[in-house]
Amino acid sequence: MSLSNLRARLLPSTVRAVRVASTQATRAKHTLPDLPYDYGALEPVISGKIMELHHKKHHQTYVNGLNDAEAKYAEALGLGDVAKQVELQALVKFHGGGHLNHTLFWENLAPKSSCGGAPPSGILASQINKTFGTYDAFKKAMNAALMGVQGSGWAWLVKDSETGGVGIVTRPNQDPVVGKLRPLLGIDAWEHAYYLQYENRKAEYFGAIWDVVNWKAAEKRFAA
Amino acid sequence: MQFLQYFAVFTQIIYGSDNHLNVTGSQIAATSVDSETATILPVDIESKIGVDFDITATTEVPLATNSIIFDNIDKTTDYLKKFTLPSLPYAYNALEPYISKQIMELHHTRHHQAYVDNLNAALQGHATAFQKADVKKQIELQQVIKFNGGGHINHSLFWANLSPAGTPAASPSAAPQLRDAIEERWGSYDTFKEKFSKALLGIQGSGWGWLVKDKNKGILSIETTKDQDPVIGDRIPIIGVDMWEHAYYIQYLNDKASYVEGVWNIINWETAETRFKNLTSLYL
Repeated sequence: MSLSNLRARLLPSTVRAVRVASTQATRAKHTLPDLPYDYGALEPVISGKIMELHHKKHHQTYVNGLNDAEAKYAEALGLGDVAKQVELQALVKFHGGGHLNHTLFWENLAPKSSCGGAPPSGILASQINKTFGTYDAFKKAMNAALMGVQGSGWAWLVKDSETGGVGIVTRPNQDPVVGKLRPLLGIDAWEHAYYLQYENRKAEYFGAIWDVVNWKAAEKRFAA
Repeated sequence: MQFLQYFAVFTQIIYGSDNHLNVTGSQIAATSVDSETATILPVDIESKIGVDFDITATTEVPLATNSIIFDNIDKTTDYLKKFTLPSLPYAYNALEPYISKQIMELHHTRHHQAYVDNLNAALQGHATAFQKADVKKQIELQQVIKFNGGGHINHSLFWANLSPAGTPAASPSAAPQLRDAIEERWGSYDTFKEKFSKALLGIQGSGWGWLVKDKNKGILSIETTKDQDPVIGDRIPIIGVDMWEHAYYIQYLNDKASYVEGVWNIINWETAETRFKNLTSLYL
């Protein structure tokens, strides 16, 4: 007998029904966040067309996929179907990660006319200098990390919540930065993030994106 | 002793006497780096991703046992085969309207070329590291060889298993034996197509979908591989479909389902049949 069958048998049907109802009732649907700027606002670094597709199509698909996976997960939870829950975890990770990563990404970008591209300041700037020597050396290290992503993925400037220090990590696909590392600044290295404009020349995209990085957002995350 | 055996196996992979890239599944599996857990904190500018020790330090202490191998090795790297970009068996625009000329041109002359160049550079670096007994550098390069060698293998297979729509090769009737095996395995060609398409669309991130034959049992299966991981070992790739975004994005944008639907019109079933009958082997 499978574990799920066993649990289902041990759980009276009325209790199961209540659990299904309660998990579904309290769970809010995730929605696509608005961008804090226009689609064309990051030009010429990122084209309006890329931003529109990336936000309206790609990010929306992650939101839909997450809601769908969570609805199925709630059902499996209510039924005590552990095997189904475990099976759904990969989808929650992928779509949930996609939703988290893109939400952070939009916020840590800004048009040049606002604060985009202005170098980091305050304690975060000193931490970056302490770890990497200079802001330029940090950018070089982050770009090397981005260029080293094999396939789809992200690179992040992170804060180690135990030591307070900063560092760079990469994550495959949509794996989010979770646990003791806190994401401060993320750069999307998926091809959909640059291909329409830069084609295979991803080094150009990584070189240009620093002109629209919003360090105020990263500083806020660092202080949180 | 175990290390020495492993060492000998890996060098054989790279410097095998055959004139083609000769790598088997178990050998690669035993040496792959888990990219998910790879963390660099902080990053050493000179170091590569996924290596959690300082690879910039060169090892000046070769293991005594290594000298047995090294003394018998040519101290240059001239003997290394230089891989080259294979030419396409059709024009860049021949797969239109299903894959645009612009995609084919970029995909072949830029992406595939980059895998070839990076593979040659990595093999060269590996040969030098091998001569210097720099084991750390050799291990570091394994993942680079896997990624770029995989990219070269996969794309070479892919070009050959595509054919312009409407040509005799692009009809499943060009693969009578394979078609029988598909129907036996999945009930019908349509069910197979549906399952294969579903597998392609389920890939999370970059990767490939494959129709694969087990060399020993002859059984067909649908597999996906991540990034540029190639199908190797006892599994024979029959048909490969590239699901990296660069394979379709310029034309289909985020609508990858339409790309998958389109690709069925340009599968080269003649190639698939010869691979199924073990009549071809990929020489790069």
